[in-house]
Amino acid sequence: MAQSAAPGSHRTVRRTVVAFSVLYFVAMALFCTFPFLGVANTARPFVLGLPFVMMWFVAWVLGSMVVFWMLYWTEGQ
Amino acid sequence: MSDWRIVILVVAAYLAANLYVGLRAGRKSSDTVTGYVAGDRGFGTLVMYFVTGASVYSAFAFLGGPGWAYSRGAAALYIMVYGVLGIAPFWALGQWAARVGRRHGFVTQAAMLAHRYQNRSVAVAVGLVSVVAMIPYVALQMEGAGIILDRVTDGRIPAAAGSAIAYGVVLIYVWRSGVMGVGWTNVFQGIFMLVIAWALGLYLPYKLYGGIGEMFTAIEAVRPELLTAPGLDADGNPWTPFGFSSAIIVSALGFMMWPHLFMKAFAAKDDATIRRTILLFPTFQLFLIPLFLVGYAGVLYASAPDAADAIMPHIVLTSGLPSIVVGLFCAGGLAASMSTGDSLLHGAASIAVQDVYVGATKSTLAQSQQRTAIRFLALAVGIVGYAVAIISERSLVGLLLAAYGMIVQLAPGVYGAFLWRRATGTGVVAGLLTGTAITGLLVIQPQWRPFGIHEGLIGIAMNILVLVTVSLLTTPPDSTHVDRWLKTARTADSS
Repeated sequence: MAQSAAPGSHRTVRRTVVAFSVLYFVAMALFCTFPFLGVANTARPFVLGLPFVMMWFVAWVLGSMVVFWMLYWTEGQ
Repeated sequence: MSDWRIVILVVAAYLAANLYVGLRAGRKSSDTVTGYVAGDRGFGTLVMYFVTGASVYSAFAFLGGPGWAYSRGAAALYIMVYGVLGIAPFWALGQWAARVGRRHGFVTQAAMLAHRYQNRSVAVAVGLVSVVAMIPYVALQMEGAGIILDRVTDGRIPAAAGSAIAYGVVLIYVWRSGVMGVGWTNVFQGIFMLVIAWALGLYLPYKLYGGIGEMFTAIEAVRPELLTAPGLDADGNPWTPFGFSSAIIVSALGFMMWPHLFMKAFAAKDDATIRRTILLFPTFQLFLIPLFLVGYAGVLYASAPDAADAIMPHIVLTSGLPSIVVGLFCAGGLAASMSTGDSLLHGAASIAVQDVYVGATKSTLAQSQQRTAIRFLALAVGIVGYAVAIISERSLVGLLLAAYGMIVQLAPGVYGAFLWRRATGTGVVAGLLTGTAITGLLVIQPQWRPFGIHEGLIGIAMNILVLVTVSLLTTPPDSTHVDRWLKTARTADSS
């Protein structure tokens, strides 16, 4: 039972991860450009000494590594 | 003032180390064209990571990154996101290209497109646009290397001589070792520039302001407009949100279309290497943080440099750092320049021979003749780039931006190859020529741009329109050929 379900469920996982990745990068493109960048475009509060909007960009870059890691993990199977 | 003799000693040691690494690397590859241009498709993750990262980060980033933060504030943040947005599609595209490359023996993206569209004129058109766009980029790298050496030695090594020395070294290892020399020197150069940038970026705010938060608090009190997007434009007026946003979109679309970057997909050992390289690439993007911090440190600095891009050398030279650190900084700047310049020289020469010459004349050069031709072409591109760097006065950055507008025009043909079966060679060539011509025209006549939209964006819209129209009007491509081609692209390798 579990064995026959395995390839199908793996495909589902993969599709979900790919869809999530595409969504992530579309969201990144939207929230790092105007008008949506407006939600985070402020200097205060500082995070780790950096202005908030600068940290906002850093956070999206770090998040992309998590997404790439998820893709790597599903494709490597 | 630092002791210029110590600085020159450090730089000389750095250049000697480059030569050693670059010449040694060549022993590992075969004497074929695939060996010279794609390293026998044997690049592992370490080399791929540094080749990609160090080729992207050029003298322009090392000097221009701090320069933007210093003079334009948060406008500089656009550089940080477009690289990630630009490389993300390469997760699919890079692996597809690598698979068809392995199957059919491609080493350039133009050759790949010519095969997919079964049309040699695609290779010639893509090759020509690539080479023309790469020359101002090479020139800018050479100029950057010259400027750094000139500044740190207080004019004892004039810019023209500095460019010649640094690129003399580059040409020697490119001549001898091809892409293997580029790859292994980029590992060395990449580590060097990362360490220097992080060390200075963390140290200077502490030394000058007592900390990073303290520095931004001080800037906030005097120049708050530098701390939020979109920052300022080149003239110091507020940049438009549209300008900021369209710069990100155009740069992201064009990013991996640069042939010297795209070609590296053909040098990767396997699909997993490409995946790991992309996975790790954002760490290179974070390398911009220390460069921005150095630029921000200049905002309230006691004196101002003569040009915004000179802010980093200016602070390094006038803040009482020991000569050995000044020398290391200079070597780090040269590393940023050379690691991009070597890829460009090697890539442009390979394309000129493989795609433009062989494609246009249908000649069948022997492997050894092709390799020799690429070597001489690399030398020729070096000489042309050097002449452009010496002759032109200030317009190089403008030329580079125009080149970026041209390179973006390759995107519809590349994406079309994998995503639209009906796309034809004639359509791709017509779209490419239209897009390039319109972009070029708008660079010369910027007032014709509606609403100040980026010229590359207008060019690409017209490019897609023409590609689709002409493709639908011309004979559909052979569907069995396209099917087989796409199947190769989509089927993961067994390794």
